[in-house]
Amino acid sequence: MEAKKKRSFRERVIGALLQFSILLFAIGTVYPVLWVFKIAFGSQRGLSLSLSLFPAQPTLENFNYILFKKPFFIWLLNSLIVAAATAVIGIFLAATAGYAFSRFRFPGRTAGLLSFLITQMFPGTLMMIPLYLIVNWLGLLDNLAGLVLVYSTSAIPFSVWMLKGYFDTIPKELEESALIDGASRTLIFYKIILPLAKPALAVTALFSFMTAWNEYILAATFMNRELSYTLPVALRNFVGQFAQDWGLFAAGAILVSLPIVALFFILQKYLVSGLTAGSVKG
Amino acid sequence: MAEVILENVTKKFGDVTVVKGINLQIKDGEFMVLVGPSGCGKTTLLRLVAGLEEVTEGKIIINGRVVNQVPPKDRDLAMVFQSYALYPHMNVYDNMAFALKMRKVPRAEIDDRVQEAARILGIEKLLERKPKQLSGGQRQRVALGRTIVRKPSVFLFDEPLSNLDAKLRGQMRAEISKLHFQLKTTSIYVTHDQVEAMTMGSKIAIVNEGVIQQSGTPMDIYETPVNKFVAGFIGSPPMNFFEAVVQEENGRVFMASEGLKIHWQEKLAAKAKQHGLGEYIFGIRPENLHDAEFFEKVEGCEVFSGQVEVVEPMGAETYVHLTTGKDRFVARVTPKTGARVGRQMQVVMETAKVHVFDKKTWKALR
Repeated sequence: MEAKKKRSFRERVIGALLQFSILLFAIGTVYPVLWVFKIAFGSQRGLSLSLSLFPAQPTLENFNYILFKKPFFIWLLNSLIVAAATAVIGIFLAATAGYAFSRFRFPGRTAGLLSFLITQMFPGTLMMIPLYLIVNWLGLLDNLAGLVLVYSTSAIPFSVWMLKGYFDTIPKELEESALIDGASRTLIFYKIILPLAKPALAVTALFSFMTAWNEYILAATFMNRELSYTLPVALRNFVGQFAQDWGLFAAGAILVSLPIVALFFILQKYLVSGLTAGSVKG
Repeated sequence: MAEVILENVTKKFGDVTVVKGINLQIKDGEFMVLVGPSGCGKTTLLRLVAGLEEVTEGKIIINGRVVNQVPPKDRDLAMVFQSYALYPHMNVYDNMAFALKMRKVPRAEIDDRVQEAARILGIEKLLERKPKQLSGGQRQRVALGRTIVRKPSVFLFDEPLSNLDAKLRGQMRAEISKLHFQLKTTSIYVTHDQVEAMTMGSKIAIVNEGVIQQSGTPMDIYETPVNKFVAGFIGSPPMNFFEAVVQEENGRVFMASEGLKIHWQEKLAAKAKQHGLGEYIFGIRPENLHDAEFFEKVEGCEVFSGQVEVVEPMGAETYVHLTTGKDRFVARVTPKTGARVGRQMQVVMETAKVHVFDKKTWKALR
């Protein structure tokens, strides 16, 4: 009886400590985000040193300026075009490639899969100069198509692995049954395999979209005219070498994150099953 | 309606020959069951007929046409898979209609055919459901329905009942038989379950190690197995085997092993003499061994005793597992039996029902 009491006391202490540390981490995570909100809704141009999370004089001036005094909607459109095109092209190529890797045995299959994996081991910036040369050679600098090309090729390896893994879990009998039923390979791919792979497709699409949406370095290197900026590049320019407008930067950052948040909510039900897909059959 | 002929069909995967020169004829309207232990090549054989695997050598002829190079969809056959292979994202109706849509059958006719198949199988109320909302037996019915709507000339079944529980399996077995009786479509049915083979097949072919050991009607095979493998595979509980010597003493022929010495009546003795004295394998089915206490001995019956190891009352009959010397065997006796574990029991053997096999080749001697 005594022992049991002691143990439960110890457990309670451990529990409380755990709760406390989780709380600390939560504060550490949430505080900077809230701080961004404070700056965005504040009227100060610079950074205040106050720890308070509420702006002194709340105002929508920053948002107003970004949305209506700057070509925000053009940047938004640029970003949307680039990210959406990257997602669509990336998914299409990755799905077809992943299907081939999953279902067919051909010379170079293992080598192909391995080389996809190896490309993932190099940091992206390493590729910047060769990519710049290629894009320049293609005459696609300052052109959204150039970014789409670069983004989709860099998103494909991960997507191929992800989708191949998922296709592997779809029973072969389904396709054999469809073959006997009279469907062609192409039709089986579109009518049987793709609908079943929806969770994995959603995850990879989101991944590709976000990669393209958030990417800064390549976009900043390839895009030089203000009207061809994507959002991250445009945002960065509010905090220049000579003038630093953190209020605009923060407001912009919030606006930029909204579409991603929306996407997450829309794809939520697929994400949960998608991320565990391949590990457990079901 | 169609006839399926396999001519010297061989299938190799790399260096491994899975199917070795099989010849088999499945007549129009026949229900052919391919039965054998797992890994014997029976499923591969079925997949060859379906066109899911390519034949290495030999010919497959369906309805007088060599189909070796014909893709699965043009062979006019339908297949039920072990896992049912229902399309998970389509409801029952669409699952059944899929093949017809692929074949550009008019919508009204698709509807008629699906409704008719659903009625035959009693799944009219499930048409809107997705496969995951169905029980095992219902999925099985949908898988059957999917093949019926096609009205193909050949049905292929790949162990369709092995995922069901025992009771449902018995029920579906009867339903498939009934269905075949109604539709009379040529069918090839693969199973490892000899009970399914015996009860469903109008013909059965026993496959082992890529070779057909024997084919014929179930009763033919049960009564006159051509070798020890077939004899041991068909029948439940399986046939008992004894390794014993045929010897002659004072003009009388005996079969003798360590714990057994049985006098051969004349007919069997003559056969034994014809093949020569020496070592053989003898087989006797459990139902041809009886409890001496309750069995009226007739001519050709011999009595010996065994030690009872296990008694399994099945209700209508009782299986008694016995040993004598090194030999173990099972007798299928009346439930009135007084057999007790650990005691001796007098057993009657109907020697006329004994099968004799060559010790080396396992071939039945007649």
